[in-house]
Amino acid sequence: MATKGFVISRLPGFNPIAGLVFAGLYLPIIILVIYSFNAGRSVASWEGFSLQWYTVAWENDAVKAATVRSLYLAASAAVISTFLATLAALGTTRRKAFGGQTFIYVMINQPLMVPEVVSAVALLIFFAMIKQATGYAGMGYLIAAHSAFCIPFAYLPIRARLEGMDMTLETAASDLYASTWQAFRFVTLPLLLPGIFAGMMLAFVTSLDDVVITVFVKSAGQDTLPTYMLGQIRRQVTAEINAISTVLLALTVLLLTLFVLLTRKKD
Amino acid sequence: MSPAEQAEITRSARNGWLLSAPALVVLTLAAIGPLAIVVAYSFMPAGEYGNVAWGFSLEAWQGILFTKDIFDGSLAWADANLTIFWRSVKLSVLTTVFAFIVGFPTAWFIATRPPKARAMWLFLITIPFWTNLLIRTFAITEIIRKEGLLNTILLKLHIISQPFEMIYTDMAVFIGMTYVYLPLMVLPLFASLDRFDMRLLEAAYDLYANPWQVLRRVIMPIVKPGIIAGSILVFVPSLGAYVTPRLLGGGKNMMIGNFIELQFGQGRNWPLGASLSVMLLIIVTGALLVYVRYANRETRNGH
Amino acid sequence: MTDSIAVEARHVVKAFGQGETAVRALDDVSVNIRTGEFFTLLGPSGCGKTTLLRLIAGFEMPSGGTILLEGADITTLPPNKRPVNTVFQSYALFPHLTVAQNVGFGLQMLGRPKAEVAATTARMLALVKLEALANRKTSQLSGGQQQRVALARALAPAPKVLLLDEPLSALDLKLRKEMQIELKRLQLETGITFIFVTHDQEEALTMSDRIGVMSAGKLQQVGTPKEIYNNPVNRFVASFIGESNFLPATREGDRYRLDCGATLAAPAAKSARVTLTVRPEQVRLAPVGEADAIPATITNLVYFGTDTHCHLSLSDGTEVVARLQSPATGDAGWGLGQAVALRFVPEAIQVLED
Repeated sequence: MATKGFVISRLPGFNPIAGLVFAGLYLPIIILVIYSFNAGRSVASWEGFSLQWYTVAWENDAVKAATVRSLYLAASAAVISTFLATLAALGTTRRKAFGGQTFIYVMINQPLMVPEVVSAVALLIFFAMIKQATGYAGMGYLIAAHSAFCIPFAYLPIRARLEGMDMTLETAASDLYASTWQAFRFVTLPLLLPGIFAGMMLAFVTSLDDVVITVFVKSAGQDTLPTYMLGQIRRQVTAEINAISTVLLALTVLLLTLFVLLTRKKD
Repeated sequence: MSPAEQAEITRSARNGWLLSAPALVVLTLAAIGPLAIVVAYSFMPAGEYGNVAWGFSLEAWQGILFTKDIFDGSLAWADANLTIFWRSVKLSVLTTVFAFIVGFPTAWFIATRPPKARAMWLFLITIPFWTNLLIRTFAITEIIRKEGLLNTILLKLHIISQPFEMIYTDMAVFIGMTYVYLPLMVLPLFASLDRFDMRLLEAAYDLYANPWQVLRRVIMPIVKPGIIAGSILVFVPSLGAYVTPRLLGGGKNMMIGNFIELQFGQGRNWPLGASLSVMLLIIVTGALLVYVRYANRETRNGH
Repeated sequence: MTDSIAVEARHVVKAFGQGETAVRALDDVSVNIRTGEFFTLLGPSGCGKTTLLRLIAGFEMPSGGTILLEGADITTLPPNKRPVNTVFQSYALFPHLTVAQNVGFGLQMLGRPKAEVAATTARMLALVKLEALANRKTSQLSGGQQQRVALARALAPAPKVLLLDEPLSALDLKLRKEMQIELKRLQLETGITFIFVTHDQEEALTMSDRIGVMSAGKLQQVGTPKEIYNNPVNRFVASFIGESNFLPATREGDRYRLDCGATLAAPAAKSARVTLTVRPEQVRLAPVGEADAIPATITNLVYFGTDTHCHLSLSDGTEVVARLQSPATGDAGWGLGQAVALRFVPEAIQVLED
C-alpha cells in the first residue's frame, strides 16, 4: 500500500467482515483436514502426525463398498443426466419461442426449487410402491433419482454455453453444404463439448454430495459414502470420518478446478 | 405467412419438444410425478404399520395443527408441532438475516477486487458451496461439540471451568445453517454487485453523500434483486433443512424436515408426513412466486 | 458480361411477426441480377437488404413470392442444397478449426476427395494471399485476415453466386479501402456473380456494376452507379446517395417558379407541382443583380478543407447548400449575412414529380 487515502469503493467495516467470513468459512474445514492426520482419536488434542485414519478407512470394507457405490452412482447419474440435459438444452435454446417452453424450464429446474426433504419423501413413497409391485430392490432407484435431480445442474452450463455460441456458425455451416446432422457433428458439438464436460462435472459432484434423497431412497445395504458417514457421525465420531471427508473434499476441489478451467472465457 | 414459413416454425417447436422429451420423462418419473402421490397420501388415513390405508381423510391436514384427544375426540392445539414450526421459521429467518449481514460485505469485497483477484476470491466462495453439506456440518460439529475444539481451547485457557453445552441447541443449528448456506447468499449478491456501475459511487460522493448514505440510498436499491434472490436461496433450504438440524440440533431441537422424516420412521404416520411435505412445498413455492413476480416487475421497469 | 440472369426475385414478400404487429421487411420486391455482375443492395439499416440476401441464401423462407437461381425455383430449398455461398458480416469463422480447415469446410461437406479439397484450399488461400497462415487458428488472425478467410471459404466451393453481407463494416477506413479494391479484383478474377449488401453509398458507387437502392422494404431504383447518382427517381434516392437540395416548384410553361418567386429553366415534367433537386456541387454563387439568378442570404459557412459548405436561405426560407471549392490562398470573399445570387446549371437539375 503506497498511500492510505480515500478509496472510492471502500465501505467502512466491510473488508474486516469479509475477512472474518472467509476465515470462518475455511477454519472449520482446515481443522477437519488437519485432524484427519491426527495420531489420536479425538479432535480435542493433537497427538502427532499419522496417516493411520486413512489406513483404517481404506481397510474398512464398509467404507470401500460405500466408496465404490458412490462413484458408480455418481458416474451413472452424471452420464445419464448430462445426456438428457444436452438434448434438452439443444431443444430449448436458440430457436423461436414455442408454446410450452416455460413449462419445460420449470420442469427441468424443479429439483432446484422443491425442498430436498419433500422430494425424498415423494421418492420414498413412489419407489416403495414399485418395490412392492415388482420386488426389484437394486440400485436402479438411486440411479433414477440421482439422474433426475442432477439434470438441472448439468443443464445450466450446457445451456449457457449454447446461448453464448454464435448462431451464425451453424448458418455458415449449412451455407457451406453441411446437412443438419453434419452441422451439429462438425460445428455445434465440438464447440459445445466444454459445456458438456462442465455439466457432467457438476452433475457428478452433486450426486456425490447428496445425503437426504439417498437416505430416503436407498434399500438396506446400499450405503453411499455420505449416508455411511451420516450414520457414523450419529454413533461415535472417529477421525476416520475426517479422513474420508478430506478425500471427498480433495475430489470436489479437483473437479471444481477442472470445471472453472473448462468454462473460463478466453481473453 | 407462407406454408414454408409455417412448416419451419412447426418443425422448430416439434424438435424443441422431442429433444426435451427424454429429460421430461425422467423428471416426471423420478422427481415431479411422485410429488402428486405425496399430495394424494396427505388425504388418506394412516395405515396401522406405516404406509396408508385406502380411503379419504382430512386427519393428516388437521394433524398439522391439532391433536385429537384419544378419549373424547376433542381437538387441542398440537403444541409440539407448533414449537417445531416456530423453531423452523425463527431459525430460517435468523439464518437469512445474519447471512445477509455478513454476506453483503463479503460480496462487496469480492466485487471490488481487481479482475484476476476477483476470480480467485469467487472461487474460494464456490468451494464451500460445492463441498458436501454433510462434511461442512461435520466440520462445525467438530468444533462446537462438548469435547470439541472450542471447549478444549476455552478450558485450557481457563476461561471456563466446565465445558459448555453448545451442540444440540437452537444456537448450534443457527450457526451451522448460516455456515452451510452463506455461499448461497454471497453468490447472487456478487452477481448483482459485479454489474454495479462503480461510477455511481463517484457521482454519489460528489453530491455529498456519506458512505452510509451511499450504501443505503445508492447501492442497496440498485442490487435489490440480488438481495431478494440471495435471501430466498438461503431461506428456502433453511426451512427444509434436514442434515444440519439432525446433526447439530439432536433429537430434541427438530425442524420441519426432521419432523417429516419422523413421520415416515418411528412416527408411522405417513399421511401426516405427506401433509407436512405439501405444506412445506406450498410455502416454498409461494416464496419463489413472490420472487419471480418481483424479478419480472424489476425487468419491466428496466432495472 | 452476358445478359443471362443469375438470380431473379419475383414479388418477394417477407413479414416478421403476425397479425397487426407484423412488419413487412420486404414488400413485393422484384429484381433480376445478371450473371457475372457486381450487384449492390444499398439502403439504410432496416430497409430489408439483408433480409433479401438471407432469402437468396435460404436462411429464411419468404412469406410470398419466388426466388429463382439460373431459372430454377429455389424458394424453399434449404441453404445446404443451394450453390450459393455467403460472406457473413461477423465472418462466422469456425473457432475450433484452422484457417485451412475453414476454407476446405464446404468442399468437405460436399464429399469431395481429400486431394481436391487440399488443392482447392491451397489455391483459395493463394488467391487471398494467406498461404502462410494456413495452420493458424482463426482467433489468432487480425480483422482483415479473418475477412480474407471468410472470402476464401465462401469462394472455395465455386458458388454460382456469392452473397456478401456488409463484409467490410467491421474494418477500419484504410483496410476497408484496400478490401474494396481486393473484392473487385476477386470478382473479376473468378467471374462469379457478387451480391453485395451495404449501407455505405461510397462503397456502392465505387465497386458495383449495378446498384439496387432499397428503403422501407421496397426496391426504389435499380441502375448503374451513374444512373443512380445523376438521375435519382425519387426524393429518397436523391437524398440517400450523395447530398441534394430540394426546391419545391410550380411548372409555368417550360419554366418553373420556385416558392420564393424566382423562375428558372429545367427539364420538362408532367405534373404541375414538382420538386427540383440539385447537388450542392452544382450550385454557383454570383454577385447580386445578375440576371436569371435566385436571390439568397448566406446563413452559415462550414470549412471542410478542400471545400467550404455554404448554407443559404431563399426569401421564402428554403434552405440550400452550395459546395464551394476552397481557394488556394486567402478567402473566397463570402461573408455571413451577405446577400448573393444563386445559379444552377439547367442540366444538373433533376425534376422529381411528387
